Amino acid sequence: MKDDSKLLELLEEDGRASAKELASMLGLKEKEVDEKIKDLKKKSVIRGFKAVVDWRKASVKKVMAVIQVKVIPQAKDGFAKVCLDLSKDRRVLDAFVATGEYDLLLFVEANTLEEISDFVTERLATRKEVTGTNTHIILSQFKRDGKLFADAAAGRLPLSP
Amino acid sequence: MTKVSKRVKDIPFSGIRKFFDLVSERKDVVSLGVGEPDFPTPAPMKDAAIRAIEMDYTAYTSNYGLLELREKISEKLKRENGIHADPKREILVTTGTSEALDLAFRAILDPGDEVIVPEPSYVSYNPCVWFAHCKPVPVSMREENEFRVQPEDIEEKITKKTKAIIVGSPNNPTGSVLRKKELEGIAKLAIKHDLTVISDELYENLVYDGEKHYSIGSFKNMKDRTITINGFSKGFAFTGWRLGYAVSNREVIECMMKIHQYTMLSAPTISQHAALKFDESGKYTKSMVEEYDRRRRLLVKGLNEIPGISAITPKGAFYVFANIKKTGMKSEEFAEKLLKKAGVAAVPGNSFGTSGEGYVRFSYSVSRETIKEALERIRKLMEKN
Repeated sequence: MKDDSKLLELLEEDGRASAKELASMLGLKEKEVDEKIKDLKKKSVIRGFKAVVDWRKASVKKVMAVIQVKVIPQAKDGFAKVCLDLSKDRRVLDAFVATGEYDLLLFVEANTLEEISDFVTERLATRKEVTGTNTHIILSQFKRDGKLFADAAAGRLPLSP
Repeated sequence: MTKVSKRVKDIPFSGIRKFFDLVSERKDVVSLGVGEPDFPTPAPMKDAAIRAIEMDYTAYTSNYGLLELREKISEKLKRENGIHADPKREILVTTGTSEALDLAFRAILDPGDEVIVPEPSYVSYNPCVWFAHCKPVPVSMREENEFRVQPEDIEEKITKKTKAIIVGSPNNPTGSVLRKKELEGIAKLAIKHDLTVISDELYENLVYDGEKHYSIGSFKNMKDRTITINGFSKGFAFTGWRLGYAVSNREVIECMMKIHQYTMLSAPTISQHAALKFDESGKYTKSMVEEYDRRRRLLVKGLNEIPGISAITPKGAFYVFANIKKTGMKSEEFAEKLLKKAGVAAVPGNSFGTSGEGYVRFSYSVSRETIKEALERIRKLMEKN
């Protein structure tokens, strides 16, 4: 798998890079790259491809929140079970079990603030294992999934010696 | 009305400058015309500069530059280049490699001397020779030699007036890297004809495919007849800081320092403090080179798939010098068409001397996305023809 790490890094940066481009950068044959990607998908090393959307630029209102969740101490894979169950909600983009004062960390995206509120009151507060939540509403974003959301790069000359 | 010097007036503006104005008029241009890294300066160097300002390290330094920096450069030269230089007397820190180049010519040339300049060449070589009231003598670097200048071609141009040869490897604009054998041939000529070699090694860190950079100043009997010029701009994404250096024997460096002392006093102090961290910033250089390599492969492959364009794989720097002769167009005509019809900026090869006619310089010091977009636009344009 280590052999594929360069390929994976390139795909992580740009999931739409064509097999041809990837092949030229890695010094491989196009067919080899195709096969590697197919294999990596099959093995779930690659979990999927998606666009990183700047909804503000698309003039679409979205609300994002980071929610910390405190859970009653669980035996063995108890935390994982709660986390996996919460992950099934479509509004949850990322879900982690983490160290610290809170046990779970959820990144939630919805169309309105009400939907976020519903998620907290209906999906989280109603669960008996959940003993506390801490919701951070995101005010502005500068980077997501490795992509910068700021436009102004320092000016370079269009031509230089 | 002030009359300007006739001599200066007769020296043309850089061909890049001329093209620059055309590019500036247009919006939505994808530019492969840039000759500088698109990476940020390594963090340790930036932090050192900020600290220098806060500590009020803002006075002039010694004319030669901070001794601590010269000592670090001296260690680096020993370690990486095999050149042994006394930090006190054989190294001069300059305001960019450009200044080092100008000083080198002015320190060794007398009016009427000739300097052999392999072409296509970096845009400043010829003008710097002219400013020193001397004559540049071009030697063509040919595509069949992968743009590596051949010692026998140089020898043909040597006359009684020849004083120096300038060698730029890795090369701007062709991306060629001279082999050890070729450099040894040049060294032999220099010794035989009593010439100085000015070795511009600014792109030394940017080599690919396991190619190795050699410093001619490290060769036997060459230390005293070589002026090695270098800087931090390309290897450390340091262009705007304006810092370079020159290495040679004591007498040459003293002469260069004399001009520097009266015209520049000392190189920017804050930049010198930043540069003190260059030896801690090697890992940044390494990751930059890895990324340049990916872009290089992408650009060379893409260009070769476009009808009318062919490009040999460059081994160094961050330029591809592509052959466009099959299009039947001249370099400038081609570059102008590319700009006007496809919105892609590249530098016409003849900006680097007449041997560059029939070629266009594409830079890959831009993002992969930019390279892909440019290739797509060029492909569309060329397929229409």
